[in-house]
Amino acid sequence: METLNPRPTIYSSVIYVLLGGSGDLSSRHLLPSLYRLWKAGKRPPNFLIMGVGLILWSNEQYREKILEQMIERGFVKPDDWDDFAKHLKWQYLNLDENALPGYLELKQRLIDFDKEKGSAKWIFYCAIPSQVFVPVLKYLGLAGMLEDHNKQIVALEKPIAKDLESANELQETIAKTCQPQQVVCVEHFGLKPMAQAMPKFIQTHPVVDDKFKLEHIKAIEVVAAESIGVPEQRIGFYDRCPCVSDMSSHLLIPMLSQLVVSLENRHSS
Amino acid sequence: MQTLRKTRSQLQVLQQTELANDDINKCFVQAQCDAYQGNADAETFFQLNLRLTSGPLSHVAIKASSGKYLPAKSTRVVVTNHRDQTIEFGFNTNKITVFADGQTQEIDYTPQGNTHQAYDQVLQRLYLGNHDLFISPDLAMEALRVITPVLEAKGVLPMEKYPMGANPTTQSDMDR
Repeated sequence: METLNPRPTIYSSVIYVLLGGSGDLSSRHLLPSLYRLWKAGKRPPNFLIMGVGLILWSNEQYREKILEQMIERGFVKPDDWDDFAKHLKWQYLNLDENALPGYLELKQRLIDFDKEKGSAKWIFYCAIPSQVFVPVLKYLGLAGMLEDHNKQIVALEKPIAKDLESANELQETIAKTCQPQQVVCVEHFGLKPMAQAMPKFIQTHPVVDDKFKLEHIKAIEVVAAESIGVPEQRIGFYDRCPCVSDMSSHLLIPMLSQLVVSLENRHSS
Repeated sequence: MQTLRKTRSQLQVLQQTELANDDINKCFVQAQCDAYQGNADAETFFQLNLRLTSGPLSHVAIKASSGKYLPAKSTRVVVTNHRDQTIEFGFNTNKITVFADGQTQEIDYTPQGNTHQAYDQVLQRLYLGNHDLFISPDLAMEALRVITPVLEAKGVLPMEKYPMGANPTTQSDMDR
């Protein structure tokens, strides 16, 4: 994969702003992961998780709702949950309408945290449908929350767009709103050990040189097969984003390009 | 005498990737498992044939496929040479399997010690500013460009059916 930000600044505080903070992705993956990282001591002492969404909750109601959702999905409430949950807060925000005042209110809460705990890294995690990415980026920019490319970053969940037209609109919005390196697309397959082992193997293993010279390669196959189906609660998402959209642009084709680059690099001289 | 070949970036490779055939029927098939409860036009399986328009691998047949409700979980990349020798990179098994000269060699790349779940790594890397393993929007958009002809046409293409736990029988259609 290509390097996007070679000289990162490590902040002593961090705020995860979960846009779509009460949704399936947040309760099923993001919050359990943040709990594990906190438990493992991999969060700085000063951290905040700000759930954001279109429900009028108090911080306490949000904590209760998230715990309820996580228990429904098999998460066992640990003894230290309440200590962790103190870091969880909720912000009502209508993400995609004319909502600048709401974004400014969100910004003020982040600034308040910075003032109290020291300058934090602001991570805006878009656990929301891709059609909302453009207005969200626009309002984050308008509210002045994307002015520092080291401090503020946006993570988009796949798929980032439903077609090329909306992808171009997203690209234009990124160009107008922030630095390109402030926006990353999350594809967790890229974090699999094999994603790192494959280029190293191709670069170093003698069999590649002996038997898999570029002119000798006949075929390449990239497969992502699952035996599980689509759970009932995911059918709405899958109807909008079925197999081709879900897997091609973020997994199969980038995997293919990574392989091709690795092979070409191996045989580049 | 050796000649130096200029290497390409992932983005440049994708910019030179396209469907293997102008006739989408000959390079794309879709299917839906009969167990799927959603819309009839939402495919749960597809197979796509691609090609590189330039570069030293432009002669290679490329196939990408993905699906749910299949017999087994397998995320893999397989490279085959003209003698049908293969290297298989198993993304879910963490094993690289080389089949050559009638022999199979398997190399295990399972990390030692604690391994973080995927989202733990995502969230940790976002905090640390280590974005090497994320995909840039440019790359994702270029990949989207590659499949755009399919997205535009698939509504009028046939939708095969397959039972849960079976492989869709699509290869013969692709080889027509």
